[in-house]
Amino acid sequence: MIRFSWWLFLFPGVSFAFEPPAQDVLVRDGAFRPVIQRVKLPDLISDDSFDGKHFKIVAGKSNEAIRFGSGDSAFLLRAATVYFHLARAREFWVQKLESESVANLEKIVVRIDLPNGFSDLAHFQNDTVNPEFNNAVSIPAGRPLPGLSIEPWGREIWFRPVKRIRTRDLPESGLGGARNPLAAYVRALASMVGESAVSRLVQTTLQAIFFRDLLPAPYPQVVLRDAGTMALASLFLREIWRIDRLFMKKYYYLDTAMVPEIIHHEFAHIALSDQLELTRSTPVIEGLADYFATAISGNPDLAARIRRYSGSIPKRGRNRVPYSPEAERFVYANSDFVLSVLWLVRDRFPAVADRLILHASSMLSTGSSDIRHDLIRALLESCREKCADPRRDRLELIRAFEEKGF
Amino acid sequence: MFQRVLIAFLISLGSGVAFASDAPTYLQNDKEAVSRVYSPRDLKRAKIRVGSVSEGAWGVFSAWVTGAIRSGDDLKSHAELLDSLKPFGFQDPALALADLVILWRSEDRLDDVFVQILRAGGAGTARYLKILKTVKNRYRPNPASDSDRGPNEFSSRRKYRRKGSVTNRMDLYQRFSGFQVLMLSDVLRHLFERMDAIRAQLVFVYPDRQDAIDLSPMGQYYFARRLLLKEMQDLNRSALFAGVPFGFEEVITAALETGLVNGSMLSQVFSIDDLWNPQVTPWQKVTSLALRLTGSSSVFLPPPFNVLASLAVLVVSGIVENRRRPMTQGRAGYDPF
Repeated sequence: MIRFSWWLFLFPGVSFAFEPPAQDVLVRDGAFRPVIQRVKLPDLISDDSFDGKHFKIVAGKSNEAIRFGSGDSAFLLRAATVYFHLARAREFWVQKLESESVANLEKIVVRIDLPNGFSDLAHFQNDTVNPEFNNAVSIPAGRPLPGLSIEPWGREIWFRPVKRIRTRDLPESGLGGARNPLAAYVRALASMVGESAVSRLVQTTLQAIFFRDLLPAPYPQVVLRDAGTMALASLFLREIWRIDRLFMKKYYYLDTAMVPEIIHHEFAHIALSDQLELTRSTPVIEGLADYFATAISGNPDLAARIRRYSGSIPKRGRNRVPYSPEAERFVYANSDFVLSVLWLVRDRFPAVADRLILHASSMLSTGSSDIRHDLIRALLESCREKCADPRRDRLELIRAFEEKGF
Repeated sequence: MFQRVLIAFLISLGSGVAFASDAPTYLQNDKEAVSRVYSPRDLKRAKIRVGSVSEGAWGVFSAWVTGAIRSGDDLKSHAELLDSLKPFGFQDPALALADLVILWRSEDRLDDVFVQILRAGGAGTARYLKILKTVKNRYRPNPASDSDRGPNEFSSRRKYRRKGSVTNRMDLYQRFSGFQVLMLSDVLRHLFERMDAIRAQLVFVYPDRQDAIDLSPMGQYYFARRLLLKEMQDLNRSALFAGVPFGFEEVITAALETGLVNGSMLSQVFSIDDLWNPQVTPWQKVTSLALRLTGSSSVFLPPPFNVLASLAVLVVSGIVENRRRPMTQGRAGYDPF
């Protein structure tokens, strides 16, 4: 596209400024449905590639920005979507949260379709070592081991390739998995059946001895029936985990570069990385990044209503699951529990929630902060400064946390 | 004297001498609030509400805003001024005026006003004023700037006594001395202070060492709440409160009078007593009754239906209980760590 420039008036002759063409990107509409829209990408410094003032989108391990004409349309759609939403997330942090650290961030290299693991000594792990799919990761800046011919790298965001995996091949899937809350119910029920069988036998025996007339049938028959019922119930509960396969999706996949909230989430990691180092994934850090991802859209859900690109269960900001010490474990870093705690704050104090939570995050650390002690204390302390009536609002927060099971 | 005080007060309001920073805000708020509650069309109803809702400054301002009292009025005596307040339904107009004066902390004029009011009122009035002077807005440093200082539904809620009904506020002033009201209010003040503490620890002291364990933030709150219950029980048993038992309602009323809490905090403050008085909704009552009945009636079913019915009841009651538990004091029960 060629734009008529004001230079033309100063230098009559030939003066044209080139403007990059608009790109198709995936955005959310008013009803939070994904739609493809043609938009101009902001802050590009190149006319023919995804190279901007703040972000450079590259393919895999390359250091060259992806060109507009290269690759198929699906690949370009992913690159444009990532660029557009990163720019949007940056704008939110700089404009709305007035984050100086984000405003002064150096340019971030964003890698798409990179399956390699991260090595803090050599940037990329070897191609043959555990390729990763269906996720995204923010990595800290680093330097290679001395002697290696690798350039130092800055903070980067990597989006892994998408891969369809059979659900039954995933560990911990279905009712058999320890992470399924329904499995706990089934186990509890199975133990109840056992206890109930014993007490029923005692009750029937006592009845047979002292109140024989009250028995509905001869004693052996009653005992046999009870035992049969218990055995059937036990068998049912033992095999119920097979049933969930009927309801589970056959494949798992997650195209992280096509889900706006995941892109916002990864940028939130970078934005928070001044205080919360990108060294490991904890429930608190992931929950904070989730929150700021939802704060941009204003919708409490993450990766919802986007089945074409995500076979994963969406995260829900208004999830009513109460606190359990299990939520502190690293294996639950990607659950939506912390997100739901932070949305309790937002639902009560929408005007100050973003700043309150950002201020709270400055009191946390990657290595040692947990939910029950540190996150809750940080939120309550932050309320002293950010809430309109600290005493009243802290009491309201405490009440909310109490209802959440803390 | 009354006339002078009132007119001086109103003039100082207008000129902003006495309340330079707050006058425009609260004047505007009062006018808006009064015009909302007391529309000129419904003046009769307004009069009733003035009497029932407030015995204080609110009512006097109502009289002023609705035109019953004007700053230019030539009021011959304080008796005439008091007469002009009577139509507004105050039980004792003198108290209303005193309330007004104290509410705005016109301490320098207070003694003169007292003398006048004491002449107008009886022994009951004197007692009321004495308590009022001790407790009113003690913990509210700048009442004029508090946007939520107006009458609230809780203070004016009526409770039934042998000799008729009284409001919570009237009940407090009738039954407790100023010192007692302060002590009641302090029960809640201690809770707030403990809640606001930066950190709380449980310290075990051994002969040769100490072991300090940090409480979690919610544990700090639960512990402070338990201490509140303990303080209430201790006070109720003490000689100071012999013959005047009290509950959490009286504590809240006292805290409202001393300005420790305001109307906007009430719903949060009410939730504090969930520890010993858990809130049970009608729906929860119905479900627990239904579950009990179903559980008992399953005994009369023949096997295998009795077993299946009891299992179903177990599952449903487990789900219901699981949802209900966090409403009281945390899923893990009382666990301050």
